[in-house]
Amino acid sequence: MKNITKSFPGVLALDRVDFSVEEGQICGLLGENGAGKTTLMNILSGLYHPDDGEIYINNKRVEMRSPLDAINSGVGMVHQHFMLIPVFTVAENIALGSGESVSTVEEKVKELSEKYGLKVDPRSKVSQLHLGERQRVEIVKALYKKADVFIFDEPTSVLIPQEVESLFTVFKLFAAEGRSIIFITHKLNEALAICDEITVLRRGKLVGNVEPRNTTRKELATMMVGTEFAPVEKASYQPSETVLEVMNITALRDDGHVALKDVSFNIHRGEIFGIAGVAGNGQSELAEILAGLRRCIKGEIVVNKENLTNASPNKLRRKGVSYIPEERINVGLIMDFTVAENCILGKQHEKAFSRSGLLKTDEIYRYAKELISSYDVMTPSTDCCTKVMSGGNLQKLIVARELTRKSDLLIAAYPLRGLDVRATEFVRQKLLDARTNNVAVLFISEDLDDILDLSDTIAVIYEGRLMGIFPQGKADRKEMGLLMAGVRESG
Amino acid sequence: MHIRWKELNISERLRTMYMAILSIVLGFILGAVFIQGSGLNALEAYSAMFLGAFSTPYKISEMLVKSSPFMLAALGFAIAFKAGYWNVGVEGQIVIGTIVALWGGIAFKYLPSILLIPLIYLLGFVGAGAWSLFSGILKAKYGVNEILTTLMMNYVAFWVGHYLVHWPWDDPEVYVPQTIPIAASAKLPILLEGTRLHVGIIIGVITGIVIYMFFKKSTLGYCIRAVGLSLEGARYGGVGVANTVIIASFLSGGIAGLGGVGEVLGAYHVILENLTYGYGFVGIAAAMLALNNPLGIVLSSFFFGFLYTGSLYMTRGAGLTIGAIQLFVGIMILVTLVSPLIENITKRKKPKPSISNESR
Repeated sequence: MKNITKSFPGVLALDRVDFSVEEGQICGLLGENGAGKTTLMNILSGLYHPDDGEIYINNKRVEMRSPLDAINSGVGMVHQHFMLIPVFTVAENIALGSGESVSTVEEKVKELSEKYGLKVDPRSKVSQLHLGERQRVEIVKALYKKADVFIFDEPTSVLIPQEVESLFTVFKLFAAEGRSIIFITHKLNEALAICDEITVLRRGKLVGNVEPRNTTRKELATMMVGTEFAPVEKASYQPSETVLEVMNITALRDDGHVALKDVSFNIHRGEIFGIAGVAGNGQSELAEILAGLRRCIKGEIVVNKENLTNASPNKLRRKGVSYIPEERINVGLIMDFTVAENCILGKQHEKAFSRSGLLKTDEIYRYAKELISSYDVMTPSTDCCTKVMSGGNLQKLIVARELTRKSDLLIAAYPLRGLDVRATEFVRQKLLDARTNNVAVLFISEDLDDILDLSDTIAVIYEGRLMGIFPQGKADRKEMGLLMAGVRESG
Repeated sequence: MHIRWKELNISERLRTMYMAILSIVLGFILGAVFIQGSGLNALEAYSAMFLGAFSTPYKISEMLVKSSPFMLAALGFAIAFKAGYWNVGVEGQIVIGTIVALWGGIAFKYLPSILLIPLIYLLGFVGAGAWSLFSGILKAKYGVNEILTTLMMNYVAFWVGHYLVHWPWDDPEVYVPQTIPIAASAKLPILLEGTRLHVGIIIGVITGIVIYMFFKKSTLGYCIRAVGLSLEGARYGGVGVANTVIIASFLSGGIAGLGGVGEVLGAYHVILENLTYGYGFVGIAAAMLALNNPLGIVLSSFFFGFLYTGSLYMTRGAGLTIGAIQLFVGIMILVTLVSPLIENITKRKKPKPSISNESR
């Protein structure tokens, strides 16, 4: 790709970017949110048309006018948010648009999945597959369409460590066959571990190409962010009084299946309690129950010695529970609200912002400005529609709102998911600040590194049960990975 | 669909206006095709229409009289719409407004105007609001689709009105089916001597401004908008979703009902058969044309007032039959509903800015 330029109204998303990947090469594409990684790849896969620049595949100039052109040129993309139809079977999804019968596809899928060790059953419905399996379906789909260039958009964010390893094995297998891999990521360690070459983008511009053996984690991070940042430091944990007691909680999912079974744990002041596990094992439901958005059918929740089982979100907030929800968009923030309006979501009835039914507009704007400046949220103005903000800034806004209030318990559901390096460091630091301020923090994440870095106590969740609770020093990566997959080592 | 006036820059504001005007022009073009197609002169018809609405102060006053119930119906619809609640029952709520107004104008005739008129307005508001509450509660508590219940309630209201006009309240001294009149003290003050222009139009405009401020300034307005924009987000923010929907349905019906009150106290002083027939649906069209912006509704309601009064002059001016005029008005309403559609189509064509894309 040469000289690719793409602008959107008000933003120059890509500014004369060159990018190349050779046959049999695994190329990492690294950059913050808004750096233009996804835009660049969307151009390569035909979703966007560049304003300027040329694309060459095998030294032949190609025009990508539509995703179909890209498929015909051998470009396959495995999206971050899978583009599969849940009610269809695996084979039906792959057959879609190919014009071939489902039974032929089933045969071929079986063949491909055996050849590459990508275990998928072509007859099972996509809705029954977990995220790791769905990803394999996407890969098989790209293989089926005879892709030579594979684009993986943040593929590891939904996987447990063991699955990441097998994904990397697939990468190597593909590379050995002469296929090219473009691996979009913001996880430096992964990029360093697997890639032959790493391309770094920053604010739509190419920063440079480096080879992993000639660089360090720190250097890469500096290239991405533009400035150096210090790693998070953390004081040692001093046990103190209990804030949250969860006793034998059992709850159902929306579809009526059991989400949580007999879950019990305590969190103390100044403690970060990490819950590790593959997404979809009951973590979201647990967070919702603690925030009052879901009822539990059994068990008790005690906050500061007060029984608050199945209390309303409002009551829990008043009792000092803050909540960073998993869904930023349209749960944590209402996208069509202005930034200022979102700053008081959940606080709209507080005396500081509302008097005899009227909003104190001046107060709200003052408060919004304060949040934005002290949490370094990038937004055109407090009057601006929340929709236009980037993911990292949305999360900063939520963190700002939830932490700028007196709270005893902070529930943080996947607070680092999809954030770029700088925003990740920022949110991590804020979680640690909360801990320093004697807040009890429940930290849910699927990233074992984050869990191990931040938590004082770690629990592993699998199919709605806690598989074990470990103090930080006692937690072993390998054992946790196995527990996350539901395997309990004997002894 | 939700547009906040203040956050839009000038060009976007103009664009929104432009969309509305574009769809109106489109309506006139389609209307012209239809008129020409039936062998009449469209230019003549349109000039008759404009003259019919604007040529004399009286005609202008008639246009304003017609606009006021449309305005209140549209504002009522918009309030519920902001909560994500489709109150297509404004038609019936207007009928309830007329019934309550007539009853109040007779039952409390001993009161002086200064007390009687506000009292009737209050009763009309509460009556029509309570009527609307039925569907609101079904929706909020049991998840019953409000579009169906509010629509069905229109028929109930319509036949209740029909019954009252023909039997218990029928005026025996008049041959056409109409009720006995309200007391003189219940009649709204006239703004312009020799016309029917009553203060109802001022009430409409003020209501528009109040609702605009309500959504900008009040905590309840904030909660209603939160519910309409994102149910999950509202729940997260501790907004009682069910209660908010119920309150919105009440306010919505109540405001639509005020339109009916104005027709009885101001324009007619009796209830005629089919007095407010179709007003609610015109109101919905006016709300849609204005993308549910309360201030925009004030303007779009004037447009529909013009359409209704002006089009009647097309019979004399250009020889259209009443049926043909109704068809013409129908075409105009349909086309104005396209306004949000045009808005959506042009929005979809524009790619989203990359900053919001990247993180998804």
